[in-house]
Amino acid sequence: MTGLELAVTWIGVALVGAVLALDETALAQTWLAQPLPAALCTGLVAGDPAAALVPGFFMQLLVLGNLPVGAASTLDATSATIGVVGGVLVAGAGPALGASPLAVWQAGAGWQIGLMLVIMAVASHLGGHLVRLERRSHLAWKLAVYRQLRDGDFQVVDMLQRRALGVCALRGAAVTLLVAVLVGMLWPVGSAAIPEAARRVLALAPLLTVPLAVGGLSDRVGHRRAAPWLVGSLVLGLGLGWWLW
Amino acid sequence: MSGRPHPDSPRLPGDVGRRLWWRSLALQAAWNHQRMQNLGLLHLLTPWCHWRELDADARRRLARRHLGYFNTNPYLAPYILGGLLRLEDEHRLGRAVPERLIAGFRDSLSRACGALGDELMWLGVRPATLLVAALAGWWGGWPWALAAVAGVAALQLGLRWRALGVGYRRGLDVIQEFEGRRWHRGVAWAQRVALILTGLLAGLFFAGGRAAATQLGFAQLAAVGVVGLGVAVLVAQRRSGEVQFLLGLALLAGVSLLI
Repeated sequence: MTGLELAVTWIGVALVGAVLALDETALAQTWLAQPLPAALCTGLVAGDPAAALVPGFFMQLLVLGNLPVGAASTLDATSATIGVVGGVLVAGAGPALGASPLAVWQAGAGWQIGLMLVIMAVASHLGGHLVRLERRSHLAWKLAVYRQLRDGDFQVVDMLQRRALGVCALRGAAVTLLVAVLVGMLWPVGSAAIPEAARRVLALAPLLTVPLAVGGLSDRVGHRRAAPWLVGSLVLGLGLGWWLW
Repeated sequence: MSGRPHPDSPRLPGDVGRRLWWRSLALQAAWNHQRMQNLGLLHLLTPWCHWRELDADARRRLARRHLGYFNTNPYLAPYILGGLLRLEDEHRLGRAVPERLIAGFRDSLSRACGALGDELMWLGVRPATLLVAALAGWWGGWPWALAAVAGVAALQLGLRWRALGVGYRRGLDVIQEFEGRRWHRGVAWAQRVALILTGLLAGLFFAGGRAAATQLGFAQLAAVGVVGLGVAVLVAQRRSGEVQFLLGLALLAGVSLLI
């Protein structure tokens, strides 16, 4: 990648981060900000959407049971996914990730996807603090213009909304870019320095997301209600897989 | 449709409807812990104030009525918002719609739609959509995954547009939209589809391990299954998926050392 191509890619990744940060909660909530589509959008910008499928697939399973409602604790899986996928693709590690989720059964791709998932989980957790800070600032702004609000000054309401949307987009772009640049710079050296024993554990990480998704969704819906549907479809899936392959 | 319709019009004019719909999508933009979506609700009322040319006193009373707590599911919110605007219209025209009725309508319907919408959308339609996208991406490649999510996004934006119109047309009677068992049947089936797709994907994935001639032994796979399910079941509702994952991976590292 030339310097100009790199700059254009970083700007593209930051823009995806801004737009999808808005979509996550503040505007529309179309689910394009969920990890799988967010990873694919990043792949499109970074020039390799096929390589973005596998990390997006497993990150999606990881957050499948998250329930982002009301005052529930919110993390920032969107910025984390876009940043890590963007950084890894810019670092040129795309071809090693494989194009099918079954690639993680091979240790070579498995531990790299596992490492990406660990970084995404940590970045999402840290980014959640910023999301909560942003929401606290909404309250502070509202209290600062409370009298105008009570007096029906709807221009103030419009101003608050525009400011909230702008800050959300800026937060998304900044976090995404920070994660992407850090991962892009550190990935080649950092991933090569990981010892063999740690790689073996990291190779199990993508596999772990599958029972987490099953258990998480079952817990949300209710184990007794979920069990017959989950067990039946699991057996069907195993049988179908055995027959197909 | 544009221009100035009759005040009794049971339909929103096109340009006002579009502005209201667009603003309804930003209901949670200025979400806050104290009164949640109240600023989003006030923001939505602005085009209506302009349309109805409210004077300063009417705007003040309107703002004070709706500055309190408001929270509901954003996907079903257009039903409430449409109905609320219709009630505000009738109140303004001096019909038998007291302020207490407007507040009662808003609060009771927002609670009902919040509970129903969260069960339907967050625990049913969202996981089902994303699992369809995951399976489509696995079998057909990334364009199919993106197309699946984009298709559902277009559909739900269209349904939110329709819900705003239905809410305004029916006013107080929009409550009847939620009568009967069809919504509850919808919730049950959406969640079943999500569960079936989760189980199917898990089964296919682990069956695929055999085809991929994995080097992992049975003990390691059993440890992954037990740790993953155990962490999810024991800490699921208290911690996010990210925390469960990191906790599970730390446990797996310990188990791997022992194995």
